Amino acid sequence: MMRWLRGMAPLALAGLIIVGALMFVRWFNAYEAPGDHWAPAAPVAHELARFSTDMGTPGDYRVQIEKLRSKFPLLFVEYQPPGPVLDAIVHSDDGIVRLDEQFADEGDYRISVQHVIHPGHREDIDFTVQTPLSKYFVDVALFALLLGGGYLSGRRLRALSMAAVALLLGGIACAPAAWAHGGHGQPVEALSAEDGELAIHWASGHAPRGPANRAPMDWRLKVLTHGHRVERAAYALDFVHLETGLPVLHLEGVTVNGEIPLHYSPPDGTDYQLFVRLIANGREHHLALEGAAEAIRPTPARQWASFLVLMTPALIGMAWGWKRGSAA
Amino acid sequence: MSKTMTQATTQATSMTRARPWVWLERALWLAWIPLVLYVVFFAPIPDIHDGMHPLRHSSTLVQCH
Repeated sequence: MMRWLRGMAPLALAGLIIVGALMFVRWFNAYEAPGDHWAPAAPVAHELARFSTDMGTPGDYRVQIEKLRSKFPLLFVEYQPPGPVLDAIVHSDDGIVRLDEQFADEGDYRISVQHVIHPGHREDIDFTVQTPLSKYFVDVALFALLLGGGYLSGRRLRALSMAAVALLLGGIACAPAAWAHGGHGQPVEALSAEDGELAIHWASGHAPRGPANRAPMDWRLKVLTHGHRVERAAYALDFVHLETGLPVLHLEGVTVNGEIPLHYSPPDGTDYQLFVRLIANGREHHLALEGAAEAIRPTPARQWASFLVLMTPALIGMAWGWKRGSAA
Repeated sequence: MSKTMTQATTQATSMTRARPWVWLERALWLAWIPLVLYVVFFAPIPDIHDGMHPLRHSSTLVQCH
């Protein structure tokens, strides 16, 4: 009986690998294939994802994005804590509400789309933001490198007949301090931009300020012509990450009370440009204003957690190398 | 047998002579991984910090900025 079971082992192994491959393909496809509302179905962090939902009737829709839960924060650094991310108004002429958005990090999110005039006409959609595959790859590579390094150390230490245990080592790297990137978070001077007779100003009277990945910052713009607010002007807004020149948010709307309403927590602490294409008085205007979000710094607790997580494979490797004994 | 004894004695003598070096080597084998991790990921040295920026951003384990 036992022999028969052992004989079947290759078949069981083959079956397991085939099932595993199918599951992997399913999981892998989730990064590409579009879903009911997002493309890809589960947006990938740091990549622009496209959203659409059919609300049936044209009009102005308030769109809010909220983070509900972070993915296991010990292993997946939480840049954006749970809470609101975006509050904006999207105008739809065909009843379909669309926008493009890039997320700071993985986790569970909810997007709410609500008709401005009929608040009962509302849809809440929950979705998951995935970790980019390359990050898993780097994590696994780091793990393997540290395991290998630890193994080597363990063997050499055994060869040197070291009595102490390597576990004491965690304390060597003393309190790691954070370092901010230079040049970021500088106040931006321009308060308005003009194109012909049209001008945009920060609605709050000053350039947006505050940390990225925290409470949404006030990016509202007011649209003026000869000092008067421009009502119901159609606009397309690109929220451009200036380091890469790529948008992290794109939406289209119509000015409300002469304003472009936007509260947004951008995904990275750096400089941004709000690039607006506006149609007013039968002409298309191009206007841009710059603002900056401050980078958030890791806390000592976060750095210690990261350090200890990285030391774990090294210590396992060390114990393993120690057990295997000296190479000499 | 006496040959083995002599070898062992010689080895022990050389070990005693080289004691500081032996301890230094042990300490280095213990410390090099935490040191590398500290310098690469956590050290507040601007050039290294900025140079390693993409590496921190491409791992889920270490926070950047």
